[in-house]
Amino acid sequence: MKFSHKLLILIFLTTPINAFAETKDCFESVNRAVFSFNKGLDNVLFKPIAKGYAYLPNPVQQGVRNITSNISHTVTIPNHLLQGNFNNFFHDSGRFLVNTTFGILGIFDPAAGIGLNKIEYEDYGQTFGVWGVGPGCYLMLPVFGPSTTRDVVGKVANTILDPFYMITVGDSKVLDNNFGDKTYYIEQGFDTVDFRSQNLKSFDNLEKNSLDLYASVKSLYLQRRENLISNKTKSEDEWKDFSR
Amino acid sequence: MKNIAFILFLIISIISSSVVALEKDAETFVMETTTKAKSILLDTKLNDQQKRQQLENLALNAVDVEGLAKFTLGEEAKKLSEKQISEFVKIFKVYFSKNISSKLKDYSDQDVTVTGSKKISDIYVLVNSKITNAKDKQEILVDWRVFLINGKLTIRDLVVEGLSLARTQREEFASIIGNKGFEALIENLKEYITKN
Repeated sequence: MKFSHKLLILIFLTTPINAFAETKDCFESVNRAVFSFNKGLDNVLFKPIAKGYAYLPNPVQQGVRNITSNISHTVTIPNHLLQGNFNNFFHDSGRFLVNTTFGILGIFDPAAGIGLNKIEYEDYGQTFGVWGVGPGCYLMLPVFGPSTTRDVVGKVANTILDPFYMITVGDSKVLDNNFGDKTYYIEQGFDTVDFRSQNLKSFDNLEKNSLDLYASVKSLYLQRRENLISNKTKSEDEWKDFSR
Repeated sequence: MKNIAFILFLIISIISSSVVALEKDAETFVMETTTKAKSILLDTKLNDQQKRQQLENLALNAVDVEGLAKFTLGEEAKKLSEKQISEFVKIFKVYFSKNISSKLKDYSDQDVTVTGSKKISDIYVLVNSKITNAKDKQEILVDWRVFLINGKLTIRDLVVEGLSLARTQREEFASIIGNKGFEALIENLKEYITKN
């Protein structure tokens, strides 16, 4: 086992057993430096590509979104099961089956037409959260962006336990080695560019109106993860008892 | 016995109708506010400066900016003097109106539909809505935290796809205060106001 893997597991095991424990910014100065690097990378690479991608006709963008969303079921479905959400497990299994076959590898979404609408994405980081594992420290990863100790371990699991990764990158017998790798990384690339393209306006707005962009991104990321784990918005109580 | 049952029924009816009334009023309030904002944004007779001014006025009128300002200070408020808090609230009001009008400016091609509401307390209703992009029909879920304060409905927070704008603002301010102190936050706010 590589040292980095051992370190991750050690950090993961020492995180508090409380899924909604406060996320400490243990490495803030390093995180801020990585954030600046990511912002620079976004300005010269991801943003220009996403801007170009946004000019593609809407049906093309929707098709790409459908394909990447369909493939993400290979991570979501086992996590429904691990979280004990059996209804969602059957729902998304049916959705994946229908869209992969009748939807031509997920380009179209005929499942929505028969009531199997898209539901929230699940991943291993969320499953660890549902099991009660705390977020640990907030981390800003180069290229990948905001995360936490728990979500980094989840991210590794999202990759190595993903059947799509296994048949493309992991096993050269299923697809030719070169073709398999390309298929996986092209899909990941499209997923990233599509996400960035959908958020061009909101990211610009956030950048323009934030006094501390790093802190805003951190807050938004952590809120999003809390909501995904609890499958609801959790901040109602903060206003309930507020009086000025 | 019949009289008691009738009185009870009457009391329950009055209470439940006032509950429904508050929820309906909050829904109408959100709908009216968003309709006004959109009509300002689409008004071809107004120049950019006039639109901005009207949006700022609308925001200051519809939002409990003082409450929001104090909320965004969080625990830090306990360490500050009354004078510091009142200075902060004064600057925050200007910052907020400029910030919100800048955000709204980019959203003229969106349609807002109120989809329901939920009463959280006697003075607090969470109004659910969806915002649809005219171009690609993508939908964003937005919840409005509406409060009844001194007989007037007012917005305290927007929750966009589960992300609270007030909480984000509070955590952003906490980060600045934690790293550079309260005075630095005041300076940053003033800088933003000057630039915008």
